[in-house]
Amino acid sequence: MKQQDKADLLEAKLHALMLASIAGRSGSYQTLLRLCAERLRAYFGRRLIGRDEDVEDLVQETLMALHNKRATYDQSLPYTAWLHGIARYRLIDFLRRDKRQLEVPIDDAFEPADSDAFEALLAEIDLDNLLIGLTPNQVAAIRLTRIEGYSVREAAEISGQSEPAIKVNVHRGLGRLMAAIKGGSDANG
Amino acid sequence: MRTDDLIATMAESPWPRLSPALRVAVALLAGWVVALLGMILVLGPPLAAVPATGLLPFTVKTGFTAALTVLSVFAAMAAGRPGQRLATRVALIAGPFLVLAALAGLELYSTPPEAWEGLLLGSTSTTCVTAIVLASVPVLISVLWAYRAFAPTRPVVAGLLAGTSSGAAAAFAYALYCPETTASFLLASYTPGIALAAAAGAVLGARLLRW
Repeated sequence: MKQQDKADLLEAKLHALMLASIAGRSGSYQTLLRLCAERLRAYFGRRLIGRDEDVEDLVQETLMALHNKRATYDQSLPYTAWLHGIARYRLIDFLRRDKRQLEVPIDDAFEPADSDAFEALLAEIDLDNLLIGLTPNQVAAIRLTRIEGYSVREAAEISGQSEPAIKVNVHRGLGRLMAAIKGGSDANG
Repeated sequence: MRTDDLIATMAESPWPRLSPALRVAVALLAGWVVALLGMILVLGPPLAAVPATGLLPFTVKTGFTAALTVLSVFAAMAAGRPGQRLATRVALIAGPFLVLAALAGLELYSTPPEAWEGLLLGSTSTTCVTAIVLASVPVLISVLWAYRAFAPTRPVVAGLLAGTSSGAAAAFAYALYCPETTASFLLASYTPGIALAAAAGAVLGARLLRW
């Protein structure tokens, strides 16, 4: 299944849940908020690597914003665009506050390894090269579970693979990755 | 609080009945009525100048300001919905100005340059700008208050558009009094008042519309 199809499927589900929520089905609303919490955890987690407490605070703050501003959702528009707009606004607000709290010491030195985000970017670039050698199903399984942060069950739903297939593809894919990394370092050394 | 507990609590609360768009529309109307009452107190009953100016200039003035109000309100509402595209709606606001500029161009073209100043400023330019700016105050306060129900991801842009709506609505109220007849005057004397209201909206929006 292509990336676009997965995004469309997610959009269709979230949109349907939101319509049911507007119609007054609190069960649907609870499911929707849970799914949003998962998405937000992955979204913020990728940007604030290693700061799990901040990520969870931000997830809760954003959930409250989604709830308080729920009347601003226009039913004719994609739900994911609305969700992303709010998540992005909360993230920018958080980073702004975060910057104010930081005090820069006078003997502040430039440390290249300082930035988590930068390291993550580096890792992502390497990964893209390494993933080229894998089958599309393996790439999807590893991306969804190990990078995007979905559970095996959600990854199965999104990618259209069965749960055992996800597990097998992650396992085999990671095995091949390890072999590729070893092979690469051998070649370099 | 655990995230799941938070979700469970939120899921129990009822869905809001009033839409933010309706709130803003009602607030705009309420602020406009206050502005009109102020004008009635200071300038007397509306529409008194219409027999002198004729129906066509009156239609152009009210048409321009009404179109500007509607277009800027729609753009302002779009700015309050995360993920909504803004560019087209904001570009549409230029429409009434382009029509007016075309009419003003025709007027200026058919008039010798010595008479341009009279065409652009008329004899009531100062009154016009002052009235529009003062009338936009109650509208802007009311609209910004209601606008807080929206979720603008760019508060300055949202404030600017809310300010434009307020200025345009105030200009619509003043159009019921304006004794001038030319499109050139409209362009040169209505625009500054509306622009000031828009700027005030942007400055206030940066503070009041964050969430």
